[in-house]
Amino acid sequence: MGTERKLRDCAWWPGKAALCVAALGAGSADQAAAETAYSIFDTPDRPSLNFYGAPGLVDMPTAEAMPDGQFAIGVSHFGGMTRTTLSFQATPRLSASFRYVGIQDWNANGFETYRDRSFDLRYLLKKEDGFWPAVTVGLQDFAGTGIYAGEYVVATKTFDNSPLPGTLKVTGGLGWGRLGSSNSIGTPFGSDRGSFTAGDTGGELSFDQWFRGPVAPFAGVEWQVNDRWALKAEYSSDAYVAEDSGRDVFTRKSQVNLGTEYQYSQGLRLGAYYLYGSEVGVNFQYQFHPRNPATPLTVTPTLPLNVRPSRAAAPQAWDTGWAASTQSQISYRDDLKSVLSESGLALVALQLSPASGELRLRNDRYQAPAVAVGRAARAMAQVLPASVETFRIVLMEENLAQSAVTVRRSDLEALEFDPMAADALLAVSGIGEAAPRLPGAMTNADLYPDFAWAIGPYVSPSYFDPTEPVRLDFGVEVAASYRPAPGWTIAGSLQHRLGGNVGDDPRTSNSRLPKVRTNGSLYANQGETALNTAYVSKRWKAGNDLYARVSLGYFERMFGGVSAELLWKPVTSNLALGVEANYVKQRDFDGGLGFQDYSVATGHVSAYYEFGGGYHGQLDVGRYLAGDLGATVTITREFENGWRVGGFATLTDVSSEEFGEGSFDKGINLTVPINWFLGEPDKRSVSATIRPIQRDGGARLMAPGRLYESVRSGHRNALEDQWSRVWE
Amino acid sequence: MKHLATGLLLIASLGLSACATGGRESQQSPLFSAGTALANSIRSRAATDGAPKGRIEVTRELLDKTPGAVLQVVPDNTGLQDFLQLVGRRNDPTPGTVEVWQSSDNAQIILREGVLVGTKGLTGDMRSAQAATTIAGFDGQGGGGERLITLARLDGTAQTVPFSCDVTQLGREVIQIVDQRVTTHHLREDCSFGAQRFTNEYWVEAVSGKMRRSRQWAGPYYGYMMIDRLKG
Repeated sequence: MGTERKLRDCAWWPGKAALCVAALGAGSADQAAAETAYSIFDTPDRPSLNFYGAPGLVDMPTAEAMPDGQFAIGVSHFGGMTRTTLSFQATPRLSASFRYVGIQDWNANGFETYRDRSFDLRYLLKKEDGFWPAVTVGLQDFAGTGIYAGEYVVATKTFDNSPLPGTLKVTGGLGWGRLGSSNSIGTPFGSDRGSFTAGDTGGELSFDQWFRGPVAPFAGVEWQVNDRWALKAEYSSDAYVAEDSGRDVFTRKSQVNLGTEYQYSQGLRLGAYYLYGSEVGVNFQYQFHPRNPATPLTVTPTLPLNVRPSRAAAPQAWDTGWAASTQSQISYRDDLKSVLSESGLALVALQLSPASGELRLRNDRYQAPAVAVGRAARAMAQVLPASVETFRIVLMEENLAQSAVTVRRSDLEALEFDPMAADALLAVSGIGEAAPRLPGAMTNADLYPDFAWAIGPYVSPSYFDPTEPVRLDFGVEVAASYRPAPGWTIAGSLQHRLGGNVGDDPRTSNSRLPKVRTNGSLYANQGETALNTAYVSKRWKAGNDLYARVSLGYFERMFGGVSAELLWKPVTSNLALGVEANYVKQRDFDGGLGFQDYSVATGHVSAYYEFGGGYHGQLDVGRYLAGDLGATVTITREFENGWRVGGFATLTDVSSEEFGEGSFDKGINLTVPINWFLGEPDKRSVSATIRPIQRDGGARLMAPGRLYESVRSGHRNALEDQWSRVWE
Repeated sequence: MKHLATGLLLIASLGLSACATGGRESQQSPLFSAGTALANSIRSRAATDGAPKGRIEVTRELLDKTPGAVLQVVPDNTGLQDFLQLVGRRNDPTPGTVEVWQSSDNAQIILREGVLVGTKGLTGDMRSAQAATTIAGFDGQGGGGERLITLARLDGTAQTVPFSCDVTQLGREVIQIVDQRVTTHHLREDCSFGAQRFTNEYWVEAVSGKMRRSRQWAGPYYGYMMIDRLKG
């Protein structure tokens, strides 16, 4: 439909033929991700969540999917069981959940309160249409120790024209595993289902269990009475065998669950329930979308361009005598430097000829590189003499020339208020490679040497310890960096712990591998004042598409040594290839300068690929810190505004027995741009990696200043993501 | 994970410093310092909710004291009034003269022959727009056609929406602008794209062809604004 509309536009506006071709090209790319396209006027339905933090009734799932890209946080509690779930709608049909659960009065397997992590996957097989219901298949706790293991196929139909006010949603489904434990009707796919064994290493995909064993039906209705209130009733197929008869978690008397929910705000929904004939429960549901910022971003605009007088009207303005004068050139550079700095941009180098100019700049403010390029172009138009017609704008990141955007000044003047201002400018701009250096250019003497330091609080948490779900250390951190010359960085940070309990973890590492990551509590315990990092790093461009880095020092709390990296990434390519080699030694627990005996040569060959539509893949093959050989696959959903959500898994030649709990290394990456919170331009972002458990297998070195992200942040895809902001 | 926590602390501290330095320089002339900032007023809507600020009664004397052209803008979302300065005027390859007006808090609205074709610094801005079919309707006959309007989403991307518009001539109308009675052509423009609709109204001065008053839609986030050309 999108393409049809575009075709029609082209027919209507033949004058925009070039744009139409571009739009159609983009249209075919859109087509691949057709389902991810969304309209500014859409207000997509937001399904309510169940006690597992997934779209559902009370304890049972429904077939609804959340809007593409939506996040949900669910915290539910009943019968001494608390489930905290983070769900993400990774594609329009696929969603994933990560859950942390605490079950009181478990009193078995050595746990008084049993705590566990689990992952779910849901796939919308069929969207709801006028007649047929939506159908979803789900795998619950499909790779953990399996306490919540269950599979389901569920259908949901919405009736909003019923005689009742509001909206009625009717759901029916079939459950296996845990969801087939009450009133089963048979075993269609075999009865040999492995059972849950607490204390197993877990983590492996339980293919042999899925959809095996007894199957039982479940059903329910959700009546959204008005904008605020909803009522829910369901018949559950979960007998809570382990909790009820096996242990004394709670007593189940009925399979019927009832509840009411209140939509408190756009994001927050609260529910109260009566479950299994004996328990009162509560459910806190919060949903948000990365596309909807906490504070919408506003950028103070620049004044409109001053259009040059025509050559005939003002020949003196077009005089090129200035080009021969070093003095004039320097004064243009100084003027440009000050205009750029008003926009938070730093002039790195400027080279002028009578008809063209190349500006190299550092963008310290805007997360969207298109804003930096647009402002730089307008600053050049404001400052430079009339004869300079071609602007080449090169974005620099830590001395790496990322890309060159070529813009004609007359296009800027003609298109500033064009009906399609941003697209039209993109159509006539070139985005290409930038040479490593610009010999003979005027530079900015203010940039080097550069010294910066900061002092502030830090918080260092540790998660999912069976006795204490969250442990925290906090204290003061001093960080400093010194850049003596382009590309060189000398940086370090020192932490002083004021309090916390990470080091109190009584568990000692039972790892059968070299303890490269499992000695975290020893590091926390013994290093009250610790040198966190201290290193020297040099980054440079080795060719138009080649980037390099060499680092030496204490890279992270646990390792120090040498690291070298080479990256190939053409400006307009979706593919990048990299290689990294490190030789590192394990650092002393006390955070001093000393090392322990363990050393290792570790490194990877990496391929990175931008699939389009916001999907990014990365494959790393190599040797990990414990000397194990293997590969890591990372799939990330990236939003144009800088939000990223990814999942990764590492398989190495370490067996699941050697690896220990979890069987293999896996986790979630999350990156949030700071301007999403602040609503003001800010280039920084915060990142977090959450692993259900940290073991020694598949562990990677945290080398400082890896190249890929800082290189591609100024390449074509990044520029085009938010190109519509180029005139901001 | 440590970075998330430090990030949040950072955000908190940045938020505080932003509050401390939030003040903007006020303009020298009476009207330009009197208005309520266009962009800030929407951002602090929650804070000012239920407490409408007093309207400034614009007088000829006040206008005469104010240098240059003056545009009064009252957005529906706040009902608050601001006075904008003309900071740019020019002709480009697209027919119709473009004017850039700046609010007291440095947001901008861009008019082509009085038709809103862009906003900057408002949040959820109108990035660009066609106005040719609208302007063509000002000859007193009405008309219409397709208008491509590019609207910013809140995630840094934008969407170009092909609205179908009809311009209807509502006849002559005399309007009062400060102490002036102005004879105008009153026009209405109805635009739709699927279920999404908006209706603009224009009052174009009969003698000069200059738009003196309008009520125009600035996109789904900002909504409508009432625009009066008080002077110049």
